[in-house]
Amino acid sequence: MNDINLFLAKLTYTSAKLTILPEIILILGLVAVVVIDLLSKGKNTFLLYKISMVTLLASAVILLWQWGFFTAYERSHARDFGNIFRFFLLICSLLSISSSVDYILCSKMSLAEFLLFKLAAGLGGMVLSCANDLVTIYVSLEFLALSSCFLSGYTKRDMRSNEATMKFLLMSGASSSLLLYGFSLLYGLSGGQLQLDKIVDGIIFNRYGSIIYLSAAFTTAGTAFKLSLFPFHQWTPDVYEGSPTPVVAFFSVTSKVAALALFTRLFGLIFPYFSNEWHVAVGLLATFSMILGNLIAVTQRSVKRMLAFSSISQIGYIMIGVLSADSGNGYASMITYTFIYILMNLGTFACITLFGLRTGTDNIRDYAGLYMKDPVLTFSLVLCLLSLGGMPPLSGFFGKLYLFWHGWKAGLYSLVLVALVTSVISIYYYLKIIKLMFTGKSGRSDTPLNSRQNSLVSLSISISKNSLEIAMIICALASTLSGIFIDPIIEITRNTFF
Amino acid sequence: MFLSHQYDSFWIFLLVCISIPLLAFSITRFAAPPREGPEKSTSYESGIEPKGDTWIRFQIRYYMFALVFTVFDVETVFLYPWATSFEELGLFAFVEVIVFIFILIVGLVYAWRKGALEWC
Amino acid sequence: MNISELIHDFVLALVELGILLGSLGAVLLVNTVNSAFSLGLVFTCISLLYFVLNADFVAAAQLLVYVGAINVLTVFAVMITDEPAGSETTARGIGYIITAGTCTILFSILSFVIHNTKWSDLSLIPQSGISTSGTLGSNVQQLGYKLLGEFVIPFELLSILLLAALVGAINLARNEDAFIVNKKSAASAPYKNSTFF
Repeated sequence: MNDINLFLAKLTYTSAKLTILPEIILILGLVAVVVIDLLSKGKNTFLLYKISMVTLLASAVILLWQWGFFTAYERSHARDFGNIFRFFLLICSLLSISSSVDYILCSKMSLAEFLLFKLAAGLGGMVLSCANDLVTIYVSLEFLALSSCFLSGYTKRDMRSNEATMKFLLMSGASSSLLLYGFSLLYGLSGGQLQLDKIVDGIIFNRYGSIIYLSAAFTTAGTAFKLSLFPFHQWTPDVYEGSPTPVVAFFSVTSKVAALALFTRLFGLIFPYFSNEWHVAVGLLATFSMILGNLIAVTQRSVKRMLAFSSISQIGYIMIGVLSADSGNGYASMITYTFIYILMNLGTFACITLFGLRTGTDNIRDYAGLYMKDPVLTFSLVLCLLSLGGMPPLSGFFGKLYLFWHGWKAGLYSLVLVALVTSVISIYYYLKIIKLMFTGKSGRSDTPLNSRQNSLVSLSISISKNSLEIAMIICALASTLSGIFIDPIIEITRNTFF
Repeated sequence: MFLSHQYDSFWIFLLVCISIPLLAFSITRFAAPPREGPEKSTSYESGIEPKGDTWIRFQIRYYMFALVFTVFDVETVFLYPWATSFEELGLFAFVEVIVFIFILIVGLVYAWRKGALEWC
Repeated sequence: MNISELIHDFVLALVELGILLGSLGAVLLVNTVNSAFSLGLVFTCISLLYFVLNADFVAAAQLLVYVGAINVLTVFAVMITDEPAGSETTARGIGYIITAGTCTILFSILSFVIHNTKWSDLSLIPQSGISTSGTLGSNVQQLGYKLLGEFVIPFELLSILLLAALVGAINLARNEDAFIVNKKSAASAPYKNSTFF
């Protein structure tokens, strides 16, 4: 009996010590999905779905448990930061898988590969957000990019999807090469170090100033491609328009969150010595992304394109949080807003997926009179959109408020002013859709609802249809109510300065 | 400069190798009498009259095989450093490599079951 | 200047000329087959460049992976395409000028900064057991130690990356129609003819 207790205690300690256990579970789940698909010859789709959900949940639970286990003993800010982002990525994967199963089944594509790529992308993002050396960063970044690329080309009969894949592949290749060039300079200058903290020790900053600037510039360009900041954003609208909607939902949050973690870590750890310079540069990029993203979004006709531009501007807001970090609050405002952004964006995309599934379009004018047809969908979409725009009682407002207040305190006056003005513009185009949904004459009222359903798959749909709606409602509620619980979130995220 | 002199003979060999075909082609240009004709510019198909266009679409199977080959080629490159120091690295590394290979075998089985390895 | 250094310089110049000409050819040649083979020349020359720089394992890997596999893949990809429909002259608009300007500026900045940096002052941190003589065996063995010791997580991640790449590529390239036809004949569902459009 004593032995068993001892063994259990030992096992507990080892598994808590093994910080990559959540990733290992994800790998196991990923392999299991492939193996079971091969064994059952692609028939047992519901089991695959269940396996991936259970894997993600188990991974999240273990991550939280390890986190709690460690905070009891020692506190490391970098680890807190990584853990928060890993948890975010798990939430993204969980919600987006549950909201995309339906779409995949309806368009009669095989689910196993889709789940594999989603799990793989989530895994890549998780490793990326806690990676501490250049090799791991590069491998996991490629992992994320490759999986996202396959996801965006998943509907291969669609020409637009093929175009989106091609653009995404070329752009991510180009950005990776830029990033790699910056890394190679860092590696050389530090005398052959790969660990991030050792690189900082190895580099003699005032001696090799100009070349470190060059390295920082290349790294910024590489990560800005992933984040789709202003001059590197051209791929975003095309890729978003072409890819299948649930995939867009996935990589509008996952790749952004992972790239954000990478950006913050790289610049927080390696380049703190000339923070003034890169603060100015990134501030400029953020300003332009906010202005251009919001202005171009007004003119868009497709909802997906509009959301693409809106996501460009949202990254601009989040960058304020990165720039305004200080040792007192850490990246609290950035992380809080990122969390709310994940929920709002996933909620919006879940609504659009449901709408697109029922009518087959994503034109803005087809949303006219949606209120008459499906009030639940309309209300969720309204809540998410208003939250994205930052209307007062919803959580997007609190997130933005905290972010802007933080930025103001850090002295980023012009950035915050631009952000305020552009949020007003963004509210305009969000409200345009909402107005259309409530007052618009539904011109295509004869559009048959559930037109793309097929009797052959209707059984599995009736199970998974719920999952899409549940994900949608969860996101809508969370993006409404998490403003009330913003205090504990801020409290958790406070200790994240490196 | 990190000059290494261990490959000098290799470089000389390489230069000689490259120069041989170049020389062969340039000699024929000088030596052979220039005699142009319509027969000269047709593509050579073992003496048979060439039919159709030279640009035809090949089957996608070639591509699939090349694809699977690429993946396992990369795997080989990664296994080679392990194989050279197999004795020193010990059991733990062996287990790691077994995991590495197992995951790729799953990929191979996938390719097999999805028919990427069949010719027709 | 002794004879071996002369050979070294000559080889270096030749290899870099090959890279330059090959990459220009890969971009500028009209026929895609020629571009693909020109790309092969670039890969081979890069591998030789690694040899000149004394990185023999990387050179071998480059030869094996890029020339042996990826270039063959590129050529096959060209082979399954249709014949290009004539060579239309590309319009050189404002974007062309902007790109050319950006690239020129980037190149001049890079060469200026690289030229002005005193690279020889860098203190290489002596890592445990790396011998500067660097015979093939010890070099590769060092790589093996690093790969399976310090970088075991990226190593294992690579296998998953390869798996995902394999699955994704097969999923993209496989003939879905044949698959559907098979399933149709198995399930004998006559009303699914509309899947082929």
